[in-house]
Amino acid sequence: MLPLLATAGLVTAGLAAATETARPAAVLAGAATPDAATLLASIAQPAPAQTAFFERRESPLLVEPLLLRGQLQQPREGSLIKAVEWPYVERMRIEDDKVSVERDGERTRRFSLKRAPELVAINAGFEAMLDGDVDGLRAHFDLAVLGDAAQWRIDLSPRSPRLAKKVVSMSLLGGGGELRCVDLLQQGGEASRMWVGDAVEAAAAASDEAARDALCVAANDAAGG
Amino acid sequence: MLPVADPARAVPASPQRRWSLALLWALLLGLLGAWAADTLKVSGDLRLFMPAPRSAEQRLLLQQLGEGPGSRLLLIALSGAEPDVLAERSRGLREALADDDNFVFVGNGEDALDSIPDALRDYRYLLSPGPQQGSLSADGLHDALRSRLRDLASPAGGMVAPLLASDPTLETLRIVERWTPPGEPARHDGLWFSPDRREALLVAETRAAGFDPQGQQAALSSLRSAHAALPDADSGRLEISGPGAFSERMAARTGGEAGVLGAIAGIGLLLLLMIAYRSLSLPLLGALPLASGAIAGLAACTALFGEVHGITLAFGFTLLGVAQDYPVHLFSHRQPGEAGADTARAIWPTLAAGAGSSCLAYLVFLFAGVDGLRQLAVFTIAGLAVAALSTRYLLPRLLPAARVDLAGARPPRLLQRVLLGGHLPRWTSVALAVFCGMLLLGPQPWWQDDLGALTPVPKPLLERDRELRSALAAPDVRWLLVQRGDDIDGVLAASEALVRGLDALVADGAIDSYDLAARYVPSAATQRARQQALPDADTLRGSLQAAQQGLPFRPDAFDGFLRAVERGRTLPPLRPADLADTPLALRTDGLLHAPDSADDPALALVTLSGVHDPSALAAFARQHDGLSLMDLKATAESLASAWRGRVLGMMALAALLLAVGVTLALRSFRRAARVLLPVALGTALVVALLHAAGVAFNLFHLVSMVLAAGLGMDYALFFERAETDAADQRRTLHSLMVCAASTLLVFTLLGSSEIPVLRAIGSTVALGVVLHFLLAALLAARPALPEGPRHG
Repeated sequence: MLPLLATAGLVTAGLAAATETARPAAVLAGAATPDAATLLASIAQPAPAQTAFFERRESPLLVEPLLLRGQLQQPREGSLIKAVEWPYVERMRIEDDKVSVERDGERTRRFSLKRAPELVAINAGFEAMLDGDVDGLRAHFDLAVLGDAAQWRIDLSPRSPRLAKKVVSMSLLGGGGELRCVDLLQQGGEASRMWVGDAVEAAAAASDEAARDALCVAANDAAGG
Repeated sequence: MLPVADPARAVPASPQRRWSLALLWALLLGLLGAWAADTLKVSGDLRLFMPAPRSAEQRLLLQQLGEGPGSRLLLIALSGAEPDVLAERSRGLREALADDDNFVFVGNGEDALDSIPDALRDYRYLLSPGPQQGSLSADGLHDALRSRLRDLASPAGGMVAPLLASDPTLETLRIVERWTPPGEPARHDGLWFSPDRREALLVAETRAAGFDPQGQQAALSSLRSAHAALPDADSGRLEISGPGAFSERMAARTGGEAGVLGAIAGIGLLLLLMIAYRSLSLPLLGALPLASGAIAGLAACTALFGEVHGITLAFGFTLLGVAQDYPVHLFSHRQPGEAGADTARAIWPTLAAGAGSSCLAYLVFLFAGVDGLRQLAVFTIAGLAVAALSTRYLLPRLLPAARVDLAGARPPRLLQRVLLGGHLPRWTSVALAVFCGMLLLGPQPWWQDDLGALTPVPKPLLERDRELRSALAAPDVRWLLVQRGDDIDGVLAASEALVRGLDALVADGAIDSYDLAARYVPSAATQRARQQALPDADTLRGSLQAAQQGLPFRPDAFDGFLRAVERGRTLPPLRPADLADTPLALRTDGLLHAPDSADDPALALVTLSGVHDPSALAAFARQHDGLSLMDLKATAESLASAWRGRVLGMMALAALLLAVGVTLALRSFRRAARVLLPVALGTALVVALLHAAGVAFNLFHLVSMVLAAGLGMDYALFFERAETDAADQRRTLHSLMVCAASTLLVFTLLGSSEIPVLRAIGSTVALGVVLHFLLAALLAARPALPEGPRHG
């Protein structure tokens, strides 16, 4: 879990630095802006990093959302693996701008990251989460920070029209030195929410979607955000 | 046109009047030239220079030469960086060119969804190899839907998401896979690379035909600027090969080198004439007849044809070189106190005999049945006539009074003594002819039949092209399978039936891969069979409902799919003609040929890549009805030799006409023989010497020999001039020495070029000038009369 916490810290740290360039809409609510430098120093951990995830996928084609569990790994910098373990096995690997998808009983698919702008952005989001590469994030999104150190949300809106054709927005939610959820809204109504870190087990065990969504808000302090 | 010179006026006009006339002349030329340059379209279509095809193979070859996919294909290699960087550039380049109108198709190994035209999406169940057995059954659909569900959940699923609702079995992707060019080049990161991974490879098919220089040029420059716009492109190398790139390169190189050599030659020529005439104005004025001839030729072609082949211009200007001698004759024959018009009148019979009989000879090419040669004839005849007439009637009016009599110059005196002292005995001509005959028996090959030799590409470039072609599995430029049939659908069906056998040939290693139109558009029968295999609406709805059991898709999620399959069931089969205006049309058009007339067969081509065993292909062709293996190289050679035979025949006829013309002009068989003997011997010697030196002749040699012969005839005519005294003979010698020296200067320079075309023209003409000059002096010259006043 630690690397994840570290990356969350990195994200917030980067964001703090980013606020001066952020758009006027960026609001820093509350008194205490997260102390980026301290967070960074205390939780930074080099690759390889790994965390479990729990994901909920929604689509206009589906009557009920799709639920998945698996692992996110960063074996080294510039590389990301999203391994689905349940309810089926699939392994997506991004390495140096190349993507491969392996799935049981199917031919491995390979393509360039450049061909899928949404993947570039999503990858940048994960990279930022895992190793704190906020610059990578800012290359693709305008950032807006809401909340305080205990309960924050970072809204990412696509900068390029090309990306905006695919991605409506991304959000990172967290608090207390911890990233909890990553939201992704795609054009065409596809939406995903991903729980990471300590929230995974609870999300998997949650009885309904409301309870699950509540996990994205700080466990001890539901008053934020 | 200006009025004819008044013979009564012996005194030249005032300098002001002369110079304003000259300026007016130049101005008129400028205007006419500007009009012609503006209106005239220069074409690079080699077919203008080819005879009408006789056999179906030849017709096919000509079509392939100009518009076939082979001639429009550019092979691109990116190098100079790590493979990963190159892959990135390859992607960038393809992306940049994807929407470029200059290109029909740009491929780097990556398949892209957008290569299916929207209009054809409805045809997917007819065009794809067909839904696999059971894939539209409940079970098959269930598997497909489960995979699509996973796609939906995957961040990598964005690529298929737009297709998902209407095409859950991803037929569209299978069509794209099928349509990507066949053969499997080496890959790195999913993209085409050279086997050693040092170069990323792409192919680009231009919209413009291979012979359209402007279109190819536009495509090449947008390709280059797209590459230059890539990040860090400076460090990388872009290499383009293929017919379009070659013709651009050769045109630029030939043009550039001809320009430099021409400029040097021009300066040399000016200096030579200034020294010969001790005047600056004469060389400048002397350029006017040639310029008039060239512009008249251009204008005539513009008016008659509107379009002229680049080779017509190159050959035409070469042949017009004779006209540079006309003003030289005028200048050298002047005597102090004689009006220019009188000199012109004195030399006119000789000059006109040469120009007139040449024009007569070139008339032959008007009836050659080859557009390029017709243009050449018009250009040359108009040019020579105008140059001669303007030397006779216009130039004399511009001349200042002569100050010196060139009969007194030293070089002509020397030459008169050495060369014209006595007449050679008759047996020398016979001996020379025998000598030529012996040389001509040499075993060296006579002809350069390679069509490419008309615009020769340096060997290293050709080898490189072959290398890239094989790395990219691009179609072989030599071998082709041709399926004959009554109509397009017939040949489509017949060629479709070959696929199994072709696959076996690939498996056996006879070829690496193949391509045929049926890969893109199956025959109507096949499409109908696929339609019949599609389930009806109710069955499919039932299977889909069953397939959705246990999956969280909305019940109506795939209504678009149901509609698409139903449309596919009822569509009329797609015919190749329906592809018009889609990028696929250019692909299939090159592979299918509808009959031109009722007697012609329809043809479907199978292009082959990596041909290792032509005999296996020939055997394969024999086993199938209407299928033949075509050897484009052999066909091209047969065409070239047919064409050469025709040109040689025309040249023989032209020579005959020339002889008739000279005889008529001189009104004496004896005199005509005197003139024609050295010309014939000189030409025979040039041919014999070049042949002995191992030169295989091509068109450029032939044209150069014609020019040399034309020059030689002028020399002979002037040497043979009757009733000249010794002084006038020296003036003639002066004139011919200046002519020969200036021609030798220009063409020796051209001959020093490294470009085969320029070298061929230069060396042939230079050799010809020397031989013709010597032979004309030795065989045609008559003993001079005692010195006295001019006899006319």
